[in-house]
Amino acid sequence: MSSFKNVGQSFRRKDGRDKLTGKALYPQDIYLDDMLFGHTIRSTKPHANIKVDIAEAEALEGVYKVLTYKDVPHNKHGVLFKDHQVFAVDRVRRIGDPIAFVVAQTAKLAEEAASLVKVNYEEIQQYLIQEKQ
Amino acid sequence: MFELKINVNGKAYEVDIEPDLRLLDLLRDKLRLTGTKEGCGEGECGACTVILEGRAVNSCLVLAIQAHEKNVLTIEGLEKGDALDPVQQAFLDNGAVQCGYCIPGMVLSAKALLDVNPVPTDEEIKESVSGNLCRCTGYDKIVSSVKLASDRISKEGK
Amino acid sequence: MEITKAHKLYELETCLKLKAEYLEKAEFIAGGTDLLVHIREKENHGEVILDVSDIKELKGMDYGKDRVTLGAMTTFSEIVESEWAKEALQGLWEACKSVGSPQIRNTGTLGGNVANGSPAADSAPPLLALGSQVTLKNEKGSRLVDLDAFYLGKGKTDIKADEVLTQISFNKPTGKYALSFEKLGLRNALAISRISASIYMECDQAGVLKNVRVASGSIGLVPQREIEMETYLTGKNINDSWQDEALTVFSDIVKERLAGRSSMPFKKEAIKGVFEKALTKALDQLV
Repeated sequence: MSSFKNVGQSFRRKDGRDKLTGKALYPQDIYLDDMLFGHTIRSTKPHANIKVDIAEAEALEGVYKVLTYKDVPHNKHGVLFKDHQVFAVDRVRRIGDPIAFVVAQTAKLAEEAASLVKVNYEEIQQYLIQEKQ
Repeated sequence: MFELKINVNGKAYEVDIEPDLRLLDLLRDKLRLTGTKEGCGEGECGACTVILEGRAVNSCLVLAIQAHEKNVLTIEGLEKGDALDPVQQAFLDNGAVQCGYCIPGMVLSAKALLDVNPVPTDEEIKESVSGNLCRCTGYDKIVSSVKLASDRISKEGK
Repeated sequence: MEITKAHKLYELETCLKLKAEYLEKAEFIAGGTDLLVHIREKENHGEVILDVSDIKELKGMDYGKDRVTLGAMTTFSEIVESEWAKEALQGLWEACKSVGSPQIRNTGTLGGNVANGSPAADSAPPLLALGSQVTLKNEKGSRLVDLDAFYLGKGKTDIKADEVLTQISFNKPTGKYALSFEKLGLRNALAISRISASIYMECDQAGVLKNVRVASGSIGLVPQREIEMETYLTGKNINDSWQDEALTVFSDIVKERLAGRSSMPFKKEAIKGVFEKALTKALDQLV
């Protein structure tokens, strides 16, 4: 039986040392000069027609912009069916559907501005599994 | 604002901070020591574990002012020049690192244990990392790495 | 509530002075393991933080001749690492050991655990079973409050806006006694107590139980003494067979107290398992 060069041998992972010393960079670890911070506004209803007002949020000092579907050139994506929207246009289809994205100078400001985005939900037929109490 | 004085990994820092700044954010955002991770922000996962005055703590649950004039050890403070701490080396040699996100917290919890209990039982090792979650490894290699580190430290001592 | 100021304190006198000035506007941070979760959920109450974690008068454990005094800043780890507590206060030791994780035990304090008034606080049942009292201080003086009178409602305690909880104390148990604790959580660590029980009991030469105190956690809005169970157990002989009946008695109490609540069917059964274990541990200690 010949011994193999790699199979059956023990190796230290290439990135092991960096991960063990805290040097490995994960997305949250990246800091850039003058970087801005974002916060996503997501639907709180499973199925609803929406009207969105970003005026007050955008007016907050330190907020650079509030992005919505209007800022997305190609808003529909998907593998088989291209029906997955980056931002909901006039209807949300699940709790958590992204509606808007605040860009601001600090994380705190981004969060504060997000709470100022006004979303009007008109709930429509929902298919939920309900259990008898 | 609060004029914080803190010693991190043997180095003294003076930072003006907001009163509600968490120790985790002080380390990551102010001192750019990003080795300490935020996994849950509520003390359930241990990814933010650091050693404060010799004790493993969740830095997401400590306000920076509580660490005023105190000593903090983070993952970045373990290596000595090119040499890894025995715990780090054992994790590396034993293959206990996968995605690596739990690792800084895991290593520091293990180090906090070995610093006071150099020859722990398997039960004591498991207890020491019972506040550190790992989604990748299944914990087996983590526990055996701590054992390996302990064995090596004992041998070195002889 | 947005936090606008924090004071780092080292002396109790300064702390009392500031709390008298701020009253409800200020909130204490001891270990921080509860407060920081509240801050994260934006449910903290005070715009000012008073950091009491380094106040020397709040630290220390005194196993005195007749009385045990625990400073409010005593961490769960300090109890766990105390040989004396492990031997002489087994139920309290076990409760402290069962809290959260090593990291949380290293910072979490008994004072905070009690003062937060959560019905699920792990240290409360054994402290109640020990007949503990809390010392509440303000600028004008100090008062001693029985722990079982300290809890007023869910999350509400008898602490006044200008007061600090400085110590927890109880008479040092002597002679032949037992202190046990059992908790049911959803996992082995980092588990909030779903239901818990603690028993303190003494027995005489003949094996007759006396000076019985039983306390529960998470059965109702507050940690509480279970007077009916104490009455039931008093006078029983440890050599007799009544243990199964005790479980039914407790189960009926839970069934009545939690009537109408969705947790009742679960808790009226769960209390049997929990109390059986607490009872077995206590009886074993008496042997």
